[in-house]
Amino acid sequence: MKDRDLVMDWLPYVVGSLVFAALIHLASIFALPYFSSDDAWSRLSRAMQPNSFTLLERDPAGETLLPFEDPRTFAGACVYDLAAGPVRVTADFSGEGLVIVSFHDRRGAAFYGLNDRGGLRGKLDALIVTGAQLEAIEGATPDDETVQELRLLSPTQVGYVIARSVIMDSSDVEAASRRLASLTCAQQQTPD
Amino acid sequence: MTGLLKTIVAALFGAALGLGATWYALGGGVSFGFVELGPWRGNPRAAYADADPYTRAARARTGQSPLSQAEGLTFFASVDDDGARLDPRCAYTIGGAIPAARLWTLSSLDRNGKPIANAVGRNAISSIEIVRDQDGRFEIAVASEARAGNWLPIARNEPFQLMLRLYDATGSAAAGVMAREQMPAISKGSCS
Repeated sequence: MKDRDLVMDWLPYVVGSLVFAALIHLASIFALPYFSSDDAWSRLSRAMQPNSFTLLERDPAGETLLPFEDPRTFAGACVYDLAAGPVRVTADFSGEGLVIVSFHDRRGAAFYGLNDRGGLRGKLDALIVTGAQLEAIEGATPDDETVQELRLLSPTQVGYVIARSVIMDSSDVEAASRRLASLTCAQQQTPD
Repeated sequence: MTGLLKTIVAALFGAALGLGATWYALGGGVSFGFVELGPWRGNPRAAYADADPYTRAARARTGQSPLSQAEGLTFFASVDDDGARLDPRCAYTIGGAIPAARLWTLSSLDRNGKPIANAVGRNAISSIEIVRDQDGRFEIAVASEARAGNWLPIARNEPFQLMLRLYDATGSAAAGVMAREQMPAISKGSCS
């Protein structure tokens, strides 16, 4: 009967330990995005100045800034910070070739994405704003004015925009890199 | 043993088990949002805030920035059609169907998402440069030694996975709703 006593003695602790393990596991999975110092935003913000579009170095056979990138693409990014005002992102897609652009919040979650066929008349004119900035802009402009820009509400105050240009074939390498040259990213003044 | 000591032992064991499970889950690619099509796995929601918690945690830990749906779809394969792990000492033939997209690329990456470095300095092939037969069918040889025709180089002794990117996917692929028959087959050839 001694073995049985031992089992009964430890059983609540074993069950408690397993329940605690499950809680720790779930908590760590949910908490990880908030504590990672090596996520896409952190990697990009270490590599560039905020609110300006920066081309990423392309090394098709080596270490890339972001993992799981297509070796057949050129990439550029803009780490934005809306603290001092909205950030405008423009691009000209009038050339040939495939360019894709997506907007991500601090946790890397995409809140808008488009390809070069998604622009308005071959152009992208987007304004990344916080909720308060959006209200200020809408309050300052007359209701009957046609809005030409795409206003994107960022879920977080900081985030990043990433653009990629796909190299079609070996003769397209230089042209593919030039396709990202039209991208701009700049802080705007908040309207009074 | 006193109750307090048992509680401490149980808590430590539980914490270790829970964190171990997190480490294991993120390393092994545990996720609930995957579309599985034969050997190919892809998560059309990987870039979004509503991705499952495991995908979000893996995104933060690895630093990757997945494509938004307007940009394209990404599929990974680390096994062949028979479910056997891809072996860098073997040659593979990729062929058959491919979902409708404006452009696609197939690349070889290591486990951490870094492009495979090899003697020829190439680790991707695009739909533009693929040589097709009269019926429009194609086959891609994945091998560490040079092949005539469509060849995706890998490196001998360097474990790899395949990444298929469908840029500006159209039709059912755009919604991430696809059948196994729409994806290319991965068949193992000779090994050395």
